[in-house]
Amino acid sequence: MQIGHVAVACVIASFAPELTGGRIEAFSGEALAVAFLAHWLPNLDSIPIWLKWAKPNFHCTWSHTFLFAFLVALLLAPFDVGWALLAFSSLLLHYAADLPSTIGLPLFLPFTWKRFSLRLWADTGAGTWTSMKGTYQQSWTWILEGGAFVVLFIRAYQVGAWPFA
Amino acid sequence: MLKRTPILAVLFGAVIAFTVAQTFEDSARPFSFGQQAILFLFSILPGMGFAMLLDPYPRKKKEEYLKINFYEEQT
Repeated sequence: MQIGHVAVACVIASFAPELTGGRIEAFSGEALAVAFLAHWLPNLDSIPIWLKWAKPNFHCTWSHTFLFAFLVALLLAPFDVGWALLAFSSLLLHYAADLPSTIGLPLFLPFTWKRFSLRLWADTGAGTWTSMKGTYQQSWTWILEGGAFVVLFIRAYQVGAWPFA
Repeated sequence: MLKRTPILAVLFGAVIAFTVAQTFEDSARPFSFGQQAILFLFSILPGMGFAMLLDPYPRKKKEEYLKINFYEEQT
């Protein structure tokens, strides 16, 4: 998933009160910041690849595991339990959004390298024009990413956020 | 891509937008014209996906991409 991550992160921010036991308001600046930062965190594994510190196949490995989500939540919990809960949910939904790609996610690292995938669209790499173009030449990316934007519209309506404020 | 695909995308989008409006719109708080327009534009996105399922070109592209390893070391 590429642009659809924006919609998914916004939808997570819309559920902030439910996910954090009322600690964070829906669509608040805090909710959007935590949801977006946590949602993009796994894809920062591209940076060590660009810097040649890691091999290209480092993408979608350690940062896309339940262990990583748990560690991020554990690190945030002492500062703010709401942030930890929202970040954990955001990371899990990032994995769910990436599952349809054929790259597959080794969710249970370090216990097993088995990769899980729904194989709805072919992986086209990361961080290049080819990967962006290739993603949107396939039907299921439009269905799921477009669907995420429709869900965002519904959530904005239900919560009374812009453009329904 | 077939010429009919974008036309089908708009048609499917209209069906999705209508279904969403029927399901979620509160009669006490109806959508304005602008909100309906946003919903329709958003609905065209998944509509495009459903239209592409009926088009052989995206399937061919998927098969092509499945044969490429995008994570090989550049030499």
